[in-house]
Amino acid sequence: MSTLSDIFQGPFLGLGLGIDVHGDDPDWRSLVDQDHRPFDFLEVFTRGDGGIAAEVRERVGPDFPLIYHHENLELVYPSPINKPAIEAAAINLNALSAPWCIEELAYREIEGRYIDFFMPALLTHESAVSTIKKLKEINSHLPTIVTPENPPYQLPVGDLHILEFMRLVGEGADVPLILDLGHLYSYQLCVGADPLDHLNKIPLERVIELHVAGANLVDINGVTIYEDSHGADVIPEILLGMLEEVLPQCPHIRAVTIEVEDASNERVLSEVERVRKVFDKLGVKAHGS
Amino acid sequence: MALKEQILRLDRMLRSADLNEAEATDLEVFNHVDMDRLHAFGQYIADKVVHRFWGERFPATIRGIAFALGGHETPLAEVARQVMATPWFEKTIGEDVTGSALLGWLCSRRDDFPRWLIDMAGYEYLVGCALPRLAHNETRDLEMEKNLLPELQLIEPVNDSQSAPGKGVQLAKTLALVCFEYPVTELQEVLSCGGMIEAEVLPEPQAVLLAVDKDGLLELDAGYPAADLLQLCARPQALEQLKSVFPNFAVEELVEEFKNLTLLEAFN
Repeated sequence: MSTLSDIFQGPFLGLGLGIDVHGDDPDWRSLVDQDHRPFDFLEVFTRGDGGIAAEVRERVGPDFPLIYHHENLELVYPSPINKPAIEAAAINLNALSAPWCIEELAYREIEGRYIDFFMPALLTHESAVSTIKKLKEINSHLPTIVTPENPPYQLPVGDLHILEFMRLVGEGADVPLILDLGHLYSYQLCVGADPLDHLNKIPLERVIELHVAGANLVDINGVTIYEDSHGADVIPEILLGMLEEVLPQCPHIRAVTIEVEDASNERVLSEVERVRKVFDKLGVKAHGS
Repeated sequence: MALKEQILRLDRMLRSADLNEAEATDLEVFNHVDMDRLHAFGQYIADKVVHRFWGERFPATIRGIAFALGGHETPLAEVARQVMATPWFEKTIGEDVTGSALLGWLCSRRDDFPRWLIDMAGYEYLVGCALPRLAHNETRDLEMEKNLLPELQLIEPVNDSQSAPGKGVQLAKTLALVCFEYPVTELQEVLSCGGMIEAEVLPEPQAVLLAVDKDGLLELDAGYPAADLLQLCARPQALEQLKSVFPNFAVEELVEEFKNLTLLEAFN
């Protein structure tokens, strides 16, 4: 079982790919089967199905780093914990030997009704308190720690900044944090702020993983909506700029992930190249650096 | 107001095209909401829903509804906004896999829409939802189905070895037979491709016969004697018996054709 200390003190894994095991794009199996894999780890996303991640571990071999991204623990929805969802997460975590489990601070069901995308947390103290309580309870049932990730925003509701909310949850539940730079940008767009405004509100020493992904900006009646499209679009340059600035400020960073669901294999390789250039600029290397 | 109620209130606000701003400002938490952004996001969600939930299975129905709501220029997202604002949307399972939200809503407003639209929605429901789900033993909303297709007949092979002939043929798939008042396949074809239809559609009765199993759906000639022969073969039938029922038709050839299509199978 990974402890908090294990997670904070572990080696830097490098640059990895976030894949959806349900999807055909990219063809992750062919990426994995290459003699030289152009990525340092995989972050495996399932839709909460237990057992489905086992194939990935089998395919990559016993020593290749794998991280797990779950869905449907519903951290921010005020409801009792979902025991089948926790059991599914535990099965996948054990199958992958993943050092931590990522879950977004969002919900995808309302009173049992599926909604088609992540609805992000309400940004209030009450919401933070509820999230902390639920996260602590969930973590008591799992072999490793669920680390919350900031979700994308198209409509922030509440009086807290998302980074302040992350701080409250991270400190209240005593967990590491995942900072998705695209999702942060989406929030800043909503509130009319610069991409890294208020960065001091989040305890960067708790941030163990950074995400970047493709995105598209859509104009609807003069309002800019951030479309978190992952591999269906390229990573906006602005996110690479944010990465260059934020990465050196995270003393316990363990991983940088490009979420590539819906990307062709060709796009995956070109996006890896783009992020590697940021690494080169910063003098960042993988595996123990 | 408790956190859950705030979430439910936000959900209702996003789903409703007619936002109650006074209601929104009642809640301190919503004082921080950018109302222009709320309207825009609601529209964005509606556009996603109409395409993801219904675009593939009910392309003609949503276009027909949009046309009926406001003419050819009406955006498809308006269909979603109308449905999402009602309790029907709260019946969705997954991406409305049973069609309950869209078609339940449509049936509830039957009097507001032209009859050809209801017929055509029934046809698309049968082909795109009901029969595939039937073939894979997946749930259907039977109450909504009965409301949308009151004349639907589902004919399945009957295991009746006691009264079966020694040798003959039997239905190998499930059949669906329904008579529509309007030319549903033509309407579906035109609308699903984005074509336009006349404001007034004249009745032109059409019987639709479909065969389905796990491998897929087959639309068949619903005329006499094909449909009747197939229905009869729900129970095993000897060839001679079929010839006696349809004396003026080339029954052997028809049976052979149906066997080649795997609609009938030999019974020994």
